[in-house]
Amino acid sequence: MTDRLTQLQDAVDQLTTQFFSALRYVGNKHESAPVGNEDRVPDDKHHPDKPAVFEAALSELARDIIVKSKQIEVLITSLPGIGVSEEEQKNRLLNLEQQLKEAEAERLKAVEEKELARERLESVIVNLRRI
Amino acid sequence: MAANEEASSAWPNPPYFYTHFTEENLSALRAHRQLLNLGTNDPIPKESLPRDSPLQFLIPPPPATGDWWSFTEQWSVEERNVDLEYAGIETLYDQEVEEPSGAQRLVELRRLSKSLLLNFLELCGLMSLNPQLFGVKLKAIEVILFNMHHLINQYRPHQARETLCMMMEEQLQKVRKETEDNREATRKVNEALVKASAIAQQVREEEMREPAESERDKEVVEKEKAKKRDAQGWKLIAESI
Repeated sequence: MTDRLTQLQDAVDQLTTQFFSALRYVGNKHESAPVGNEDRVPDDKHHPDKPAVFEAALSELARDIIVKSKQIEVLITSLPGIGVSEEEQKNRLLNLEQQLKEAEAERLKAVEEKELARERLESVIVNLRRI
Repeated sequence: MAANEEASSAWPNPPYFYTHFTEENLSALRAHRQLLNLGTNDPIPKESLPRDSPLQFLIPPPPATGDWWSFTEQWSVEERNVDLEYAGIETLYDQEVEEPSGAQRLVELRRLSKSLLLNFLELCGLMSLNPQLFGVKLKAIEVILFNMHHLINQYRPHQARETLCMMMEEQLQKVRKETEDNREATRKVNEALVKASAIAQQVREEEMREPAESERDKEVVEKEKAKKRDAQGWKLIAESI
């Protein structure tokens, strides 16, 4: 999964693509309207969708755009670290670094203790084998 | 023909001063460096050499500053975040408010996304009434999109730091967990040893209490032997703990 910002950026790009395809659909598939009392002029290059299909497609396109827009909103509000200043972040990083160092030292100590315990156990078992 | 080929060569010739990079010159430069008491990576001041010395060519030029061009694009030597105005795009949000990670910036971002939708709606309306005028709205949408992307990109360093914080916290937890596990293992081993030494103590006391009697039958003697071996084992354990 990509990070939030990239998701947001992708969502904005997708929304733009949706704008384009929606306009394109409307432009290509709309039914032509007669001018005044003249008859409709048939156009071989123009293949409009049936009114019902056209209406359905329109509402679907509109819904998709709204959904994408909502998604962008959600992504914006869930960006990490909102309202945390750079100074605070740097302090936190320094603090974490210190803690990590301490934890690492503790870990090494614990490993040493475990090693000692293991050696004691081993010597008991080795002695036992002498019988 | 030969002259033509040279002129149309795909790559330019190396800089003319490359001929000065000879062994003698390089060792002379090293000697000069030692004379000035400089480390191997310290820059040699140009003035320290005679003006007409070929060694002048061996000293690297100072780092470049300012802008440079590459494939018709202008780049700046110092890293800097280009603002929208610099790129000739109208800035739609209030720049003065606070730093890029502030909550206000997010409000601006949400406003922009709302405007984007509204502008698209207006574009749709315009297209149905006077399609010739689409350019105006298209430009507006473009500016909004540039602004959004700019705001998002300004947020990037902030997110990077935030991610680093999270990773470090994860690491911290991992290390602490490992320490805890190791301590637990140590504790268990010690407990087992204490128990074993207690049993050994018990066996020894029993041994002292019942001295073996002679009139027992074979089976009992066998048992006694096994018991003795057992006791010996426990004694060894007790000794080694």
